[in-house]
Amino acid sequence: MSDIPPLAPLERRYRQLMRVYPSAYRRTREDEIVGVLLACAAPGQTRPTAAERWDVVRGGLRAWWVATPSGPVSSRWLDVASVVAVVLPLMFALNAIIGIGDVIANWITYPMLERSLPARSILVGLVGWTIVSVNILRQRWRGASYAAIVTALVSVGFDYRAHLVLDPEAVVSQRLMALLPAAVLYGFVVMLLCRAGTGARGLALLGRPLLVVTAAALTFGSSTLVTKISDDFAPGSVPGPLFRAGITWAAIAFALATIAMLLRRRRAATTIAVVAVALVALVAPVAYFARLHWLADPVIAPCVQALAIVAVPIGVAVLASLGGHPQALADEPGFPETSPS
Amino acid sequence: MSTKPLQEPSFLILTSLASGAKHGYAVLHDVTELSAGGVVLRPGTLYTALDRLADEELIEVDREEIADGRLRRYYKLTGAGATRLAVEAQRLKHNAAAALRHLELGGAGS
Repeated sequence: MSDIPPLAPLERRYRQLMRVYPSAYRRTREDEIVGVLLACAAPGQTRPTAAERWDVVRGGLRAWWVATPSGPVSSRWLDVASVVAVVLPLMFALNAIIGIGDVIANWITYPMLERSLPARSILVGLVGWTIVSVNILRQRWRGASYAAIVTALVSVGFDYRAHLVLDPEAVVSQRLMALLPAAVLYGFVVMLLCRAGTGARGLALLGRPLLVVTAAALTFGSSTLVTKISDDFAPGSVPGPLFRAGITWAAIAFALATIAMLLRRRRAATTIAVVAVALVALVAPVAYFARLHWLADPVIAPCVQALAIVAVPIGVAVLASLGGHPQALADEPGFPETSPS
Repeated sequence: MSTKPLQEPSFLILTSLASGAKHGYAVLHDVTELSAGGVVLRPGTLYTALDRLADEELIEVDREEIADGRLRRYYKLTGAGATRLAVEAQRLKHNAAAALRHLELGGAGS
């Protein structure tokens, strides 16, 4: 090791910059790209220029998204994205059924306006996401992506209208903040379903029965979590919907990432066990959270929410680094290969 | 094969490789020269384009060499790449000829 000369500062900095690329991509391309960067560098240059940084970051981000001839560079990330793409639409549909149930249960308690507007919005979601899910289960990917685009736009439109009527005092920024979590999630799902091969990969990874079980289990777990936390905090207290959504979606993201990572290793047995563990992981903290009234503190609540949101990408990254073997899916019927063999 | 017109950087990269296999830095240099400085690619953009072209099977890796202790990967046109470039060059030539003809007609009329 001692005979390897230390890297020059510029090369070291280029290599640090290259960390934005997926590790599989770096293994095959880092030396080559760094060589070209160094060849292009001005004499005496010791740091990457702003333009070089932007160029490498842009190339790196694109490499995460696109499979290249050197292999499915982000196969582990693609697993997570693919599982998310097929599970979330079904979760949205199942959530809408729970929402419809809530509206019916409170039909007499709530005045006409407060039950009819959300009910319409939920109904749109139920019909739309059910159509998307049926298309997914029937492997009609074009239909699934078109239905997802329409459903996402119409759902957000209906939600906005409901906010407009039910909370006329709210300013525009408050309304947008209230719609943001759903809009981001819908946008994410649409983006994934529109990416060729992602849905097919997700369905091949999970299989139909496991897809339904996973979506149902996570819907049950997350709705319990949301309802329980909202019941335990006083109405109008600081945690609010964004806090609950943050915790819930952090838990769902962890569960889906874990499932996606483990799917490659042992299909059914391990995954069903993981779904069970994910369920427990979602529901078990409820009792704990319920007693922690300090969480309602106006300073602590946003910190916990931020922590949950930051923890998701970190957790997914750790799980991704522990992912299974890329060849494990080779025997899967209908699994789309993203790279030439 | 896709008949979508090639983007200018892709066209210039294929043009650079049409005269023989080249490594990344040589392609960068060529693209700047071929476009008279109009298109200046940076390494990140170049490799994104090379990945896309390889994905479309228009180029492929020719060989790898070590020069000054650094890896150099040479890329070359595939048969499909050469055909695509020829089709695109004909299309551009036809369009350019049409544009010049119309300019002459306009000039004669004024």
